[in-house]
Amino acid sequence: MFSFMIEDIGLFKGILESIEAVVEEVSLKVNQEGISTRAVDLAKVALVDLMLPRDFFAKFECEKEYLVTVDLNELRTRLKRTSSSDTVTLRYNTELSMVEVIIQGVSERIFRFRPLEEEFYFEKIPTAPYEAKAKILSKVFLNTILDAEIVSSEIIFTLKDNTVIAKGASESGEVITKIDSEQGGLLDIDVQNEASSKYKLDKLKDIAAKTSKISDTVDMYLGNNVPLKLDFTIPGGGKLTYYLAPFIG
Amino acid sequence: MKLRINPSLEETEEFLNENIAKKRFIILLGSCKVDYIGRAKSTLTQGERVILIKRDGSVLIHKGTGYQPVNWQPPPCTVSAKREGDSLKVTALRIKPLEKLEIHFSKINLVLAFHLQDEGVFDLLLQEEVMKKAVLTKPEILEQGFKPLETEKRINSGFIDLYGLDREGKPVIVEFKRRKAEKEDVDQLLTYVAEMESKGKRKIRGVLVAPSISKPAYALVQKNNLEFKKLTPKECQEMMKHKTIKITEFFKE
Repeated sequence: MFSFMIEDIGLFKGILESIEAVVEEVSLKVNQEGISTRAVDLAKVALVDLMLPRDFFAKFECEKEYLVTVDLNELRTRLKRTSSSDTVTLRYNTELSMVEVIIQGVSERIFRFRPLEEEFYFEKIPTAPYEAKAKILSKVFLNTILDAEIVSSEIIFTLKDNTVIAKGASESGEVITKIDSEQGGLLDIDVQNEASSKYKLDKLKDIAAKTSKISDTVDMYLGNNVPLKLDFTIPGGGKLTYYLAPFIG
Repeated sequence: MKLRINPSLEETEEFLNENIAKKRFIILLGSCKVDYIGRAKSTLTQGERVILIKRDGSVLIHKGTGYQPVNWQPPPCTVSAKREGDSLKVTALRIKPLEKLEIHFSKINLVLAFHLQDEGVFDLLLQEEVMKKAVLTKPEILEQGFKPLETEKRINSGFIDLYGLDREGKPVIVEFKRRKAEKEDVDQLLTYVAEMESKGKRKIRGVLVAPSISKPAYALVQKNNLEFKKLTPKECQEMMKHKTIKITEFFKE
């Protein structure tokens, strides 16, 4: 049996929604350290990696390691039935082989649903030579992507000279965004060598939109024609990481 | 694989809900009547039918003859089973748009559930799907400013391949054909346009997308103020072709 009490239900729902930018079903690995998941989307262009340590939760119990696969929308639908004053606990009932969402407030409600049979937890993560890294405000990151989407279906990120440059271009025009520390959008930058890569905007937009609700900043790791790595620090000690394959075309 | 032969309605109710939750492919054989409630209502009276419930929630109802299902519900939809008096009601509920398909079983002969492993694709369907996907991914392929809103949009006369708005906000119905368009394809599009216009009381643009069109079909297009756009599955594939590298290529061994 495992059981954990969620301290901030709004944040937890936001985390699940952020993962849904890549996959709709995840295998949650629950053990003494906390909860993690790692999944790749159907098109195999994006990977999401979540780690929520046990201290992220108000209470956490786990007798052994479990791998439980859930439909995220199914879980979120039940979590939507909570209010800010409720106490919410997620539990795996080993006798019934069911996931339980226990909501305690003016009444006690228990939602039960069966986990899915398939398990898809990726043990590996992408490795790539990252030449540069930048920490920027999540809202700035999102707006940069939304601006690029107006003119193009792809975006080129370049990190050089203490500046993050984003460019979207097509036959209908182009947009160039420069993010540096002077306007406040760039919080930190470390450029070993100039790096530049192109990425498709569709998934990136979804990732940026959903994660901007749970994290104020994003650490962006960039190389040349390698996966874009985006690290989002979750308040309370968790981390959500995305890898997005580069686009060459 | 799990099989029940001549199960009771209670047993089937439990079996279905368990296997729907596990997203197994389900085949039901039994005697049923079917009610559809959505933009219109329809009833299929009692008869022996085969029902398929797929992992993604698709539900198809087949009679003993004909290759097309007599009724269906595309995904996304929620499927559930519940006893009601002397019958077992299987409900497939779609929210957007709101549509409900209710199958009332009086008897179940057989119910089968299994995981269907299938990575293959049907090439003919794939070609029309490629055309649709190309326009979904790059709407400018159809025309600048086109905004796709819904695929497989269900109306009384069938399913519209792609429904959207043009740059001026006018509704557009798009039908894709992987081969030369013929008169019956134009008739199909005309039927969809007529139905949508009568419901919404506004003009609808109808666009037929195909590699080519026969002369009689093109004459019919022009006569009825429809539109034809020349596009082949191969062109769509080229437009969609890109060298996106898979993320798994960066996994270290």
